[in-house]
Amino acid sequence: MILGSRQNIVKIQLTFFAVIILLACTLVLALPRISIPISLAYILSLALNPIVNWVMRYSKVNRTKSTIIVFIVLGFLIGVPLAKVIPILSIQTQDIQYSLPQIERYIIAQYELMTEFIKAKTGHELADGYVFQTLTQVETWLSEFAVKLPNYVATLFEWIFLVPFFTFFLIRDADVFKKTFLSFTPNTIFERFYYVMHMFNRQLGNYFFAKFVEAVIVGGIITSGLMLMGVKNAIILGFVAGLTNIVPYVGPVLGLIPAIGLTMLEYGLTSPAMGAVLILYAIANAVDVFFVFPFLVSKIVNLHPMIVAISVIVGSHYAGITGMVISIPVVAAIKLIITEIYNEIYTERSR
Amino acid sequence: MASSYEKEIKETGIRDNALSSKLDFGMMKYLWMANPLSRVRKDSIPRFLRNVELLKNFSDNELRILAKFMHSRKFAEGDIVFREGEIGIGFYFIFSGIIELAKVDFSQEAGEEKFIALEEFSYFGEMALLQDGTHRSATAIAKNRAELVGIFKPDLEHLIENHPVIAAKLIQSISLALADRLYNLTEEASKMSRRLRKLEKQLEQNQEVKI
Repeated sequence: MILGSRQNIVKIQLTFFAVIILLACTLVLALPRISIPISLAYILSLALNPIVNWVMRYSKVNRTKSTIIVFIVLGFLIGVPLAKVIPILSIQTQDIQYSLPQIERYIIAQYELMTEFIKAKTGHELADGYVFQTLTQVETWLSEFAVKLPNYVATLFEWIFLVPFFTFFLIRDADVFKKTFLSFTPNTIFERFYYVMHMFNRQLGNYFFAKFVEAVIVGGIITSGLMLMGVKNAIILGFVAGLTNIVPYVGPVLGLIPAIGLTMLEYGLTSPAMGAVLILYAIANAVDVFFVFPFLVSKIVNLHPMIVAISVIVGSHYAGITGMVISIPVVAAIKLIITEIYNEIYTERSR
Repeated sequence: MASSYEKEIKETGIRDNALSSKLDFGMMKYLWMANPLSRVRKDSIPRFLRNVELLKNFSDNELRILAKFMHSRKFAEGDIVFREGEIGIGFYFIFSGIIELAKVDFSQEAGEEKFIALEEFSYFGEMALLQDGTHRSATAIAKNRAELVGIFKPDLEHLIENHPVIAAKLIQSISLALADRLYNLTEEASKMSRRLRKLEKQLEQNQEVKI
């Protein structure tokens, strides 16, 4: 019989455990529609856990209630700016719809003028294939985007409901999930596995907590700066800048785009206001890069900049923006686990 | 064994204060579970912990909370709980079964020397909770089918964050036990060193006599 000796049972336990973990990993990779909101919820739960614990300790209510309190406050903080943004966005989308054909006509007219000018001056005619090709290409992209827009909105709505739903239960029942998961960890690896899992969670949690603080600082600087300058929608722009700042490297640029867009509509591309906005964003990012990051985030994630860049690229390749957000802490945690295993193999056993 | 909850209610009565009109559902659930007629979870972890000498200064409610942070682990005969030299993070109470502690003795050819067998309600591995990244000083093996209740470093961290009083009590209890052991060891050591000095003196005297 296979189950005859103790050694075999231990082997079977380990195999069973490894199979379950592999299965979970496969499911995560195979079902992005579920795994992306779950990973987002997991990240959120890690970042919010300290806050829920804090509420629990100081208000003496149970975990469910304190989770609900944190959710209500957070919903208010996110919902109010969002409620402001959505009508503006819908108006602007309509504007763009009307102005796009105008822009196209304008470009074509300008191009024709230029061709005639060049022909008159030099006698050569410009090949116009490229321009029209590019224009049709842009048009196809835009129409494709418009066709797919309901899909994107559906996904977004799915996330809007799923992410808070998962986050709520991940926070409330964290202990239950952890205990269930640990209960079928084989005895032979239990302590080490629990320890590594704990370190992994702490690393992720600390990272996202630090990122959260960083986002608040950057968002705060930009909001107050724009308010001082009297730019419209300062709160929304600051909020967006803080949010996009979570994405490494690309984030600050993404946060700048709506600011440039709105300022351009309001004051024009070459106005002094535009320069002031650009300088403000540069200052906020300089504060982030030179003060917040070295003192906060890099204390938690001690990775070489090259590894950071590589992991962000790999993350964006596999899971888009979510991948870019998750990649750094995941790589940091993997580094931690490898260090732990390295210590185990090279220093513990070979003593 | 008067629990702090009972004391609290009693004191409120003595001071003639009105009892809180708010129902504590967790407490009611616990009292229901703890009623003597209930056969549900008769051998539950809080009841077991009540009988552990180390945790005698915990109230029943505190034990109930502490039990939430502990993990129940089952071991078959001959299973190793932890090995000497491994980095340990866990502190175990014996729920049932017998656990043997063994140490590799390099001076003897026999290899492992079993030096102590622990039974129900005793505990081992408490140093792991207090030390940081140190190695187990002995190997623990289940002599027969055993069930252990363990608390681990991550659990202690959560306990400190969420229930600081209980965490402090646990650490106090462990420290008391360790202090006792340290005291005994110091006594033993001083006894041995006295004996050693005596023997050295005798040896000197013997040598002098020979000369």
